[in-house]
Amino acid sequence: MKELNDIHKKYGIPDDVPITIFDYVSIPTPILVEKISKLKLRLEDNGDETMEDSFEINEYNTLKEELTRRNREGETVLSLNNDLASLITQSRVKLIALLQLSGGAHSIRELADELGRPEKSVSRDVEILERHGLVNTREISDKRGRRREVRVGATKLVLVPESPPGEIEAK
Amino acid sequence: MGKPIRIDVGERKLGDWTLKSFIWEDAESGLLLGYNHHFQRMTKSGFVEFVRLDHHKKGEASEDAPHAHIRLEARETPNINDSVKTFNRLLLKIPEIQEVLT
Repeated sequence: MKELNDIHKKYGIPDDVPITIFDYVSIPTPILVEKISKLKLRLEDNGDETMEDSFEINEYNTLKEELTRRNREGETVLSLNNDLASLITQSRVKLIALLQLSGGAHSIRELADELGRPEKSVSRDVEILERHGLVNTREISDKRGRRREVRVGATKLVLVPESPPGEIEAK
Repeated sequence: MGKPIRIDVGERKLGDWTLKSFIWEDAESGLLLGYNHHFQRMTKSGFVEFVRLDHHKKGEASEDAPHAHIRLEARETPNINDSVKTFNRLLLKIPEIQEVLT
């Protein structure tokens, strides 16, 4: 991470003006995804018509780039809070293990059959795991019909302290 | 792109303007990703004048160029006219402000 002095110098900011660095890398994935969705909706409504929009365009682009980086590097970021304990259940660990061991993509029905569980509960687990970056899904439609395909998501897990996410250094 | 950061710069005075800035950059390469510089001042006639210099990427050349938003609001009667909430969007041709920032 850059030194604060370097940033003051680089952008011509006087030394007595405080700066705060917001680090997108430490935003937990579920929060990152939620922020992107909200900003997308807001920007679709307004575009670049207000001064607030201009800030949000930069925020939106940066959050999206960070999500792309995580997907590319197979990484997810989770917050060390109580939610983490409830996220990692035995059933979900088995589901992830099945995807990793078998490789490739599976439909919800295939996963449910393999795991001997109801489709509905597998579907709910997939939704939760996807929100946390641990599996990826996509809708496909072919001669077998329309279905959701599930693949392994992140293989690298980064744990961060509970909030405030992002803010790492202040002067 | 590597690892993005946002630099929130505290308020500072530049003449009779107050300036607040946000700068986005890639912490790994040092590449500038975008910025918002928000100027604000009180005019002698009692209006609050806002000028925001922006640089961001929307994927269209006309939108990606640095540009300014300008707004003038009455101090005492904020709802004097809703139309003031729509900002004039200008290409960046304000030498006085450019000079201050560079």
